[in-house]
Amino acid sequence: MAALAIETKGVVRKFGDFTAVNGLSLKIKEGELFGFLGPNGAGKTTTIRMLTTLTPLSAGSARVGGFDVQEQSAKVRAIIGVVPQSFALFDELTPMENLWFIGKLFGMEKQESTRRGEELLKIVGLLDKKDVVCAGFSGGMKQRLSVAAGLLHEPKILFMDEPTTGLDPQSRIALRELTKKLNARGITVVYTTHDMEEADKLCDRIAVMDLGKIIAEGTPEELKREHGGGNLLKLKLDAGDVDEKLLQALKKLAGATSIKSKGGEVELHVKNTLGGVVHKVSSFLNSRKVRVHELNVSEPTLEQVFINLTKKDLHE
Amino acid sequence: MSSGEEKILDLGKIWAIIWKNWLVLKRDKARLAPLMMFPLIMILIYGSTAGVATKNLPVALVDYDHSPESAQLLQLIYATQTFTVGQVLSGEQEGKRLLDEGKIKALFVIPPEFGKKASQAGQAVFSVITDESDPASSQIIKGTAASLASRLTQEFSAQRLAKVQAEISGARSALSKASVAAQQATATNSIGGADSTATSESKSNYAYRQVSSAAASMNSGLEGKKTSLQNSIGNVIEPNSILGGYALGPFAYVNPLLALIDKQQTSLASVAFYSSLQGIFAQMQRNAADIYSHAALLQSNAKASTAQVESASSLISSADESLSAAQKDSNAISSAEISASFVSPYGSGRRGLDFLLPNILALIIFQGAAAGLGRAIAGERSNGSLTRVFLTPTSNATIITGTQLFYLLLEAVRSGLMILFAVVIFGVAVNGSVLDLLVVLGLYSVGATGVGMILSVMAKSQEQYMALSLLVILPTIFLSGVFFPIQSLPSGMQAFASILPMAYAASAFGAIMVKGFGLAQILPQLAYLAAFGALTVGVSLMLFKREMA
Repeated sequence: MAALAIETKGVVRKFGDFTAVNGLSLKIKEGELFGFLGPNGAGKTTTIRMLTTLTPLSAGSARVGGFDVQEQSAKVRAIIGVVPQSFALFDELTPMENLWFIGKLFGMEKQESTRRGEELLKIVGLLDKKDVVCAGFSGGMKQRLSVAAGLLHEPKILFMDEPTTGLDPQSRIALRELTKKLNARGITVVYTTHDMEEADKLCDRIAVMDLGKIIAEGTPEELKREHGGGNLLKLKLDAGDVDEKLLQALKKLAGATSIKSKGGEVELHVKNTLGGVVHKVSSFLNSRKVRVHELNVSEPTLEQVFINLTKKDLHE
Repeated sequence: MSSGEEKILDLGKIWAIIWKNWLVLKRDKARLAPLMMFPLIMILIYGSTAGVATKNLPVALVDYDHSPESAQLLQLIYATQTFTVGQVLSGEQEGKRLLDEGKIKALFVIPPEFGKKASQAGQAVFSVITDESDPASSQIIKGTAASLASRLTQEFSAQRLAKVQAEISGARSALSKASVAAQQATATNSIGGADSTATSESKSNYAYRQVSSAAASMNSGLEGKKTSLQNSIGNVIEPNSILGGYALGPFAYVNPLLALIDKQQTSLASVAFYSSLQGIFAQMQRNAADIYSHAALLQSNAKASTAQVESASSLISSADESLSAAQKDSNAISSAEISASFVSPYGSGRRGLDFLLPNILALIIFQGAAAGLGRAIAGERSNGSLTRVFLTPTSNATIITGTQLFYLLLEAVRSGLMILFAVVIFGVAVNGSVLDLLVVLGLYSVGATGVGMILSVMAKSQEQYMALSLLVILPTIFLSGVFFPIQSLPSGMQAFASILPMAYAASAFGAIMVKGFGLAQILPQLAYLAAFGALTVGVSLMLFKREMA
């Protein structure tokens, strides 16, 4: 079993009367691409700040890379890289100047930070812009530079706090690809997002957070299986063929938890698609001479998982 | 921070922070330009407004008197630069209307008989109607009017004094004429014998005695002759008795007798002559005595008259003395107008600006530093770039020191520019050493930027910083001594002003620039500035939170 990159026990963070993080305990293994998923205000960013030594803990303890975030914060800072929510670099400086500055604060000589900086700028696709002042950069370019800055001192653990927020789809995809690539190189990545789809596609494991607590944790598949509420079977039939008798028969046949129809469109919720449910349904309709215009099976989404867990829509 | 990698003060990192801040500032032209313009604009504004007297307040005049005295007052009002006389009105009503409309700030009204009262009773009143809705102007107008009144009082007194002086000098010239007349009288007396009294007395006395003794000796001579003549006759023969008694005597006898008788007759005639001569001498003697007594009388009269003239003369001269003393006194009175003599140990012919400049410098540097550090910590905190710095093994002390050092250098450059502008634009001279000035500048800038750092550390955003810095900057205008003397502030504010480093910096700047002092002469100020600087750095370090809320 891989060593733990991060381990927290009962971490609490209060701001006055408000409890932003309420008893957070988790373990993240080395080399994992771990996602914190949750709506705005769930406590994701506060958690990242505590783990990156930017915010003290009100209670509990946390170790990052084996170092206590409060007692050994400088050592923690030396082994972590952070891509903050905001740009957090200097618009007036060029990418290279930004990297020189950050490098210097990490104790790197200019020669070293130049070499490493160029390598990283190549990875993030900004090498041709290395001497251009950042002020004119797009959001995606800035985020990629931010990633490069976060990796400059070769950290073992990279924290990325909603790095894709506000980016155009192409930049999002590019950044996700970059994240995967870095993870593949052995860097542990802690990633926060409120984008369910992003978390699903990107993360090895996910902690779903709401109101300062982890409400579910596991791989995306585990989460969907346990909390996704099954699959959705969508049929498009002729409206004249749909009656109560047919619907009841379909429900019984598919073992659906619920069925509803509107005109010729029928939706069945099934626990899973195991046992040839799709085939059974299609054969049954065929035998009844009911014409099937469309048959669609949709997987449960993390969004559904979240709705099921919190009984509320993520985007509310 | 327990890491060995993180030094308390890392010079390399401090330098990196300064370099980064410089690049950020250099490339942010919209921030750089005003920052560098600030000293020029401030020195222009403060330099041309500080210590400048209020001028050209519009006023109107109403003169009901039309006397020489009222004309004199009008002349004074015209001459004062504080006022611009827009209109001379015929009545108060119109003036009040102008005042209502805000076209004038004050109305001067000279009542009838102003001049008469002033010249006779020595007391007269003119009225000044001011617009109290503009307290600053009306305050100045009242002050100026009061000083006009006192100047007028002086002028009138001077005029009256001049009149008295003229009268005195008239009296003196009359007296001196009298004195000359008295002297002439004395001279005349002396010509009349009264001059050398002793001589004249002795002369008349001598003449009298000569006459007397001559008369006496002649008398006695005559008496002797007469006696011897009578003796020689023997028995004076009465010719008739001879003729009667001796008619029949011998003829021979008769002839010699006759001859004797003739002789006797002749002697008798001589005796009679001598007797009459004696009478004449006696008369002469009496006359001489008369003359003598007259002469003595004349003499005593002359004496009395000389004494009178002398006493008159001495009275005249004593009158003259007291008049001349009076004239002296009145001269003294006319020059008793109280005026201050101005002693300028630190150079004369300097303008107010030269003396105010140290205060202005202290004020602008403080304001610039207190207003200019918004970006330093607060701005970087709110734009997130401070987060990046926090994520590196860089100590708070290094962050604060590096950031403040940059602003310290910036402030030093800006202050240097400001002094340069002051020298170039206003021709201000720096009497002391420029190097000493830079030392004070540097030391003061530590405290001034330190205040900015404290604010920047406290604020969570540049907006908060602006609000906080306004709280600090606005009072400094009043506490700087540039526009209001610190001594005229309420005591609480004075105490506060005395804590601010501005006062010490101003005094140090003044000592070097105006008095030409060296550092050794301003050690207390330097010590205070250093202590204040250290205090602010300590406080900002204490307040600096390495956390992102």
